Amino acid sequence: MMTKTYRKVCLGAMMLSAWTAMPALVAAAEPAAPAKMEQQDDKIKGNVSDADGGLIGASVKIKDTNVGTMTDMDGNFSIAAKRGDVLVISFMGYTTQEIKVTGAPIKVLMVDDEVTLSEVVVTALGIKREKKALGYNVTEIDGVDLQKAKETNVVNSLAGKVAGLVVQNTAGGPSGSTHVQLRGTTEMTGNNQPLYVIDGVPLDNTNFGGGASASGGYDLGDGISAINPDDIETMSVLKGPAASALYGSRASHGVILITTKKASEDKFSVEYNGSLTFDTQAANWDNVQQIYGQGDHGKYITSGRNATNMSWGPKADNYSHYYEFDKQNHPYSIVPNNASGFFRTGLTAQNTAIISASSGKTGMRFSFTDMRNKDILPNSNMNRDNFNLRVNTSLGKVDLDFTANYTHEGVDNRPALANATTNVGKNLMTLATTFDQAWLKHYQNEDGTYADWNGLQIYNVNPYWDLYKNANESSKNVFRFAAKAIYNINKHVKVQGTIGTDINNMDFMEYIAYSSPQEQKGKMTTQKYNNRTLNAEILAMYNNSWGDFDLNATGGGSIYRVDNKTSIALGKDEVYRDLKSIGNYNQQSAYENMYNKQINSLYGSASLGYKHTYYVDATVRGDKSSTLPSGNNIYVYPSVSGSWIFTELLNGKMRKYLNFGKLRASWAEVGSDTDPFLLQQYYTNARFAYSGYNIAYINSDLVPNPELKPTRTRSFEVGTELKLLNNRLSIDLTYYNQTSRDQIIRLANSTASSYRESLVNAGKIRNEGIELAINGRALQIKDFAWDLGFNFSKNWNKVLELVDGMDYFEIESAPWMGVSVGAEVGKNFGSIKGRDFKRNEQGQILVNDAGMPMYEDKAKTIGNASWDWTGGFYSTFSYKNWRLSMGFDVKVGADVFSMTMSDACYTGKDMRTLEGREEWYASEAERIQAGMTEDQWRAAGKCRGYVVDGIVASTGEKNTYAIDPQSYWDDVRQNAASMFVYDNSYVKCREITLTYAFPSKWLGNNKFIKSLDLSFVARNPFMIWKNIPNIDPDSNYSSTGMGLEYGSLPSRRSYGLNVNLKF
Amino acid sequence: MYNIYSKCRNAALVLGLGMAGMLTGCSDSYMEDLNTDDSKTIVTEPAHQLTFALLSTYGSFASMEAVRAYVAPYTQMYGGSWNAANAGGANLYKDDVSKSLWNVHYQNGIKNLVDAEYNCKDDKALLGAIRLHKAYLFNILTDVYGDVPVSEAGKANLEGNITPKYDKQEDIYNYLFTEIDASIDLFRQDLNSRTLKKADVTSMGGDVKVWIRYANALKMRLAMRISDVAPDMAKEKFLEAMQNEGALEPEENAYVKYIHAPFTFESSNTDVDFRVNAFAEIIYGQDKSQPTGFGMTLYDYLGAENDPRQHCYCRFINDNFRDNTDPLVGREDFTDEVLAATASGQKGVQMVPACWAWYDQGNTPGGANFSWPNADCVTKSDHYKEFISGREDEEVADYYYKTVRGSVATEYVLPETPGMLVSGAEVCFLKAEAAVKGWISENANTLYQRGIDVAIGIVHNKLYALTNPVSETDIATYVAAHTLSADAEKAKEQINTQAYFLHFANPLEAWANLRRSDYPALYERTQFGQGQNGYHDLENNMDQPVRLYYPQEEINYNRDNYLEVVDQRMGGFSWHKRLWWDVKDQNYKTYTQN
Repeated sequence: MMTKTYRKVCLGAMMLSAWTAMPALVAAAEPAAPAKMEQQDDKIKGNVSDADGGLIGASVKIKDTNVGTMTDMDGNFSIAAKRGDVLVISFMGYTTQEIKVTGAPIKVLMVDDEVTLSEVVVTALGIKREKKALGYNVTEIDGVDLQKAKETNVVNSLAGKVAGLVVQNTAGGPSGSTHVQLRGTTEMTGNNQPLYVIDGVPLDNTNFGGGASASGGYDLGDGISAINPDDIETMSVLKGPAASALYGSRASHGVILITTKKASEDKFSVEYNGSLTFDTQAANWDNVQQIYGQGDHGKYITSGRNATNMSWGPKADNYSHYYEFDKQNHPYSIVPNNASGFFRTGLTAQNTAIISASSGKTGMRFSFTDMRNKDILPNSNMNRDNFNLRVNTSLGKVDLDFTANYTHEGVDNRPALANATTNVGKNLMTLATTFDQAWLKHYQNEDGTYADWNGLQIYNVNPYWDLYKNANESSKNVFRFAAKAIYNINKHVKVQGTIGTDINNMDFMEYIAYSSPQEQKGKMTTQKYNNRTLNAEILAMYNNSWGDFDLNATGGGSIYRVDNKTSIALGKDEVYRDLKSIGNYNQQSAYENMYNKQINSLYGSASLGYKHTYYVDATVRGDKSSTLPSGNNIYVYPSVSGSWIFTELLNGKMRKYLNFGKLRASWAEVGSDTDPFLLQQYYTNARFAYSGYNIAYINSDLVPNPELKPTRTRSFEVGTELKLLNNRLSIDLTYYNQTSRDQIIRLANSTASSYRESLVNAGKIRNEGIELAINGRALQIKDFAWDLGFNFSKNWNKVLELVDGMDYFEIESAPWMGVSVGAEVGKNFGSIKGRDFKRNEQGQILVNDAGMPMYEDKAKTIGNASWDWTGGFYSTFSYKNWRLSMGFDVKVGADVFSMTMSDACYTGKDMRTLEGREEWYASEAERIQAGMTEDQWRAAGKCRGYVVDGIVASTGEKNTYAIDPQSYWDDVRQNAASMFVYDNSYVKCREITLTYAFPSKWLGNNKFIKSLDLSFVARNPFMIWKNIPNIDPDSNYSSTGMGLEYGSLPSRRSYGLNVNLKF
Repeated sequence: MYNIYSKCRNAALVLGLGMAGMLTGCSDSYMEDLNTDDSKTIVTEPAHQLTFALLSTYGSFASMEAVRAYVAPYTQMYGGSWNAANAGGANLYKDDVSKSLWNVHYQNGIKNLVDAEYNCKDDKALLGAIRLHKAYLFNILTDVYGDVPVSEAGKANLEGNITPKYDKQEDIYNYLFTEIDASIDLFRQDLNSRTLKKADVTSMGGDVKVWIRYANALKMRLAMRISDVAPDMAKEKFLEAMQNEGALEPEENAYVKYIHAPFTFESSNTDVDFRVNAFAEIIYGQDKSQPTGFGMTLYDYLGAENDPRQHCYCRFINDNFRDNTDPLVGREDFTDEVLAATASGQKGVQMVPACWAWYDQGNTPGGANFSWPNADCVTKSDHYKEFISGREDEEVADYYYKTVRGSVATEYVLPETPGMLVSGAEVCFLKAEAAVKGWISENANTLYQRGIDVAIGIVHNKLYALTNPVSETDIATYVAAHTLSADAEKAKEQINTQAYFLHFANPLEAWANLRRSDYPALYERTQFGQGQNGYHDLENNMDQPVRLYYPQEEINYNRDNYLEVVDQRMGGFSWHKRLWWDVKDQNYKTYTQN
């Protein structure tokens, strides 16, 4: 009930904001009706104008008071003020002015706020450029927006903030990775994630362990998840290849540039930023029937396969039954919200201390962050300590900048995903309606062995056993070092050298205890990742201007090198109980995997501006990649872009309404390489010994390709940026079209060729779309301001061609359900394929003579996992020292095949399974009473139950044959995947922050405390709308597993407090 | 100050120069070296790949999914598990399961044998074994799926063919004979091979002469397989196999040796651990509700023949623990008690047809319910007494029921259970049938009786190491009681019924021989309805299928070739359409409740 009201209120607020935004903006455009002011003697009159005449609606306020007014349509105002008062005159887009009241009429000439119009953004190679000069779209996010309502993985905070940037949480929980995509999928079988560059050094964003697949696994997090939000100054999103042409191969899916904070200009400052949030379950199982209990075909059963996970028993009574596993009697009654009881209230505490000192040209900033997370999953915890030191100094003409970062992250009991036997989500979700999850706290016998509660079913392991007896642990140590030296040769020329390394060491251990149903003798796996990335770059920069011309040019080169090694050890057949060491196993095996790669690059760019109105940019880059064969390993790609500030040509009157306008266009090509070691075939020997014999086999399921060429992506983009209504409204609109060809695809083969996939250059995929961002100040009344922003993007992601004779290939699948997700020619990327009912021409389901639906024998397209459109909006209210902001994330139109829902139907938990149940059970009871066989009973016309809505194939008549609903659902689940495809759309509130900045007078006069902000924060506080029952729509189990969901744990909602204190 | 500045400048210069050097200095060979995986090898010995391929014949758990779910229940020798009952037993098509045999053999054995054949240069006997075993694996696939890719299969890397065409089964059999002949030829040129010895994990131990006899035995099997569809050719090939070295002697068996290592279950393919017999493993089952039970049809035949193997194969066992190293742990054998109870007129032995799961608890054709087994034979055990305390009635009944249904004897579910290729006993039966056909002049009855004798005495007593072997006297009595009828059709039935018993541990051959010979008659599938879960055939035909579905993905990844088979040659796919060599329908009989 609570939640419902809450949701309504928030929905109301949202609707209100949406509906009122437009009129408010319109009102701002219309000349405001002059405020009727009482004529008083001490009225001070005045006029506010800019170069083109009177300014309408400028704010005039007496400093340090709440007294204020606005200018009328001619720019005039009058205000009751005393001589000596200071008037603060402000208007968005203009520099705020302060004028002392002398008694004489005041004339104020406002000047353009250059900061607003000459916004500087960080672009490729870390070069700061005037935003107006760019021929492509760059979106910046202020670090401040990431630091209050914190996420354990900072990229999650970007959800809904940038048009065209899709953030998809996986089911991996707080310690997992997040899948980020800019402008859709460009590479069919690649990871499609953007490149992260931190202060000029590309980040190693390896997803350890490659994430989970349908058959299970863990999400071990990635590189970006360990970045501390408190160190971020800005994040700059470069979309599409034009923006990122200079970063080369690795940037073909866009770039996110992160600029970290330097020492502040204060001589010495200390800052504390702390937050404490409580985390709870955000999606509930709310579609569960509450009538029938554990059992099968209407009968009560407590043992045997699946019995404890089947809710097909009789109606729940309160009768007590004996359960062998804990030797207790338990009542047979419905347990409401059964799965919810399993989760605890989580807690996340993040404490950051920052010391910043500067002296002369030298600055030093040190930050330490301790993050502790107690997940909602019992016994699952994470901690992360982040040390960051940044020193910058200048020695004559040389500027130096050093960063050292150390992160330690430890995680206990990450959730296992998808069909893993240890996935607690999957095990909880099907638990019978009358089987209280709390009973499972008795997970072991007295001797420490597994308490068999369901016939040692391997796919339904006791979740408490998974979390308390089995274990997984990971420990990650990340070192990042970067040094940058800039030699300013003269006013026009400088040379910059950057070197950075990323050392990422991770240990992961998974322990399956002795007597676990899936590995009775116990098993242990350790994975040791030693990853090292090195980047070195030298860049010369030149800028000059002659008359109306400006020129910027750069030239440079870089080396990128990766050396990763993974050592895996496997132990089976445990000797001593609970001793978690590989040596403690009778069967041992060890092997290694490597990943080595180098790219050498040379690049240059030139940008020419004319009259600050016309700009042309050109870049060229050449890469030489070790992953491609000699002869094809050097690839060069260019880009050109231009922009035109057309408002420079407008006359004064027009510019009053259209303050700034730019048209931009760009064209680029980007080349891309692939993973190492794919050019020749390798053999390996078997992992376990067969004494006296050697066993070897071909290592890969992928046909190598010694003639591989680089992938090419060509893109075209046009856009406009507008600032209207005295800069109160800004609009950014982009159309883009990018086509990737010669894709390096892991093309699925006929398995009769003996290889699952072959590596080919083939296929064409086109991403075409529009992005729109509108930001504005809807209202400003005295101290009250309401800012609104909205972004929208629509991407058409069409698969144009694969190879001859192939029109579909699979990217990911849930084989046991006969469902796959893949690329289909002519469709959006992400077709979901599965089987459907057999239907007649009218679309009615055909039914056989036994009352069962009939099915197609081949899979067909039953959904699409691409979003139709995505977007977000935010709303910020500020009043004096208060600030309330809310951010929302909208995703619409993608489908997901939910194995969770399919299981809910199969196990009789779903509400739909009630239909026909009462009738069938009653009919069966009467039949047995009457001593008749089923055939006799039917012949007597007495059989009742579930009747499939369809047409009998043999007669063409409407089906009337009653069947057992359990048989129906079991059969449907096996054969009609189409039944479990859901629209995955949602609107989520991502964050709410309410901040109060304590006025300085409250903080005492000693200025010991410079500022104190206190915020109430909430992340993912509520879901406004979703279509899929029970689970969170953000429930993909892996980054590649789009369109598939299984056994997802609920997502987390968190709320709490944030304190920011500066000394 | 200047000093530092100049140093920095110098450093920048050095860095710059160094970098320029790197850019131009990274030669292609440097890049190629870097792009070589040092944790793997680019060369191997074909012998090592042969070892791998031999082990993968029975060693892959994944490939056995299709055997457990379809092949084994179609022989009606196995049943009662969830998988056997609800897939093959209920005519439910599951793509991932039915394609598993196809995927595993193409991607493991055939893949490596094709590659090894290409790389095997001088070792003639080794090459012979590689080609022969490749033929063996292709034979498995064609007998299960019909027309399958053979001539172009496995060549994605060598020839770049990722869409192999489907050869007609007739052509495949021609090819198989060619390969067998070629391998015999190679063997003869290299009789003292040492490399084959190093690779050979079969009972033949690298003895090239035995390999020749095994090749001839396989040739006889294939010849008999086509005896109805191409009788002349069949006879010709059969007689060729009789020549020179001839086939395996009655006491000679060719089988893959597996070792006593832990069961791998699902991880066999990911861990590439094919050292244990995965058919034994899958029949044992991953969890205790999973074991595949003993099929009613086989049990009834063994009973009707008074076969001493009946309760060697079939035991009454309550299995309370899964031990993936030692299947003996936790198995409580009630066979004597159950049999005594049955003999004394109690309701003891309960067998389930292949299409029923044990928990269907006695639903039988016609819909009447069995009464709960009155198995007080079970109640004597200590385990039972411990078990029943506080239990629900259903659970106690369950315990009875699980005990009195037939289980596969422990000797057949051990990790080291041999994986039979061809046995000497089979050769006897093949020759006996050839004699009945008049192809050869030897005495059919002598061959038949010799076959029975070694099938029990050697194959099952010794090879599968029965803990209670059938005594020599019992064998002699049984053999004496089995003389071949003078009627050719009756003789065919007798011979193939014995072959059916013999192939107990090799359901792939059992099913192929059942479809070829149509004997012994199986229980007619349709009388068992759709099973408790109401599963039904996609084609609305509850007859027992006679082949498996092709992998679904073939229509996407190998479209033209797939459509050619399915649309052109088959006129639409149906798993009720017989294979090329399967000219007649299986004989079926009606089940009557006793």
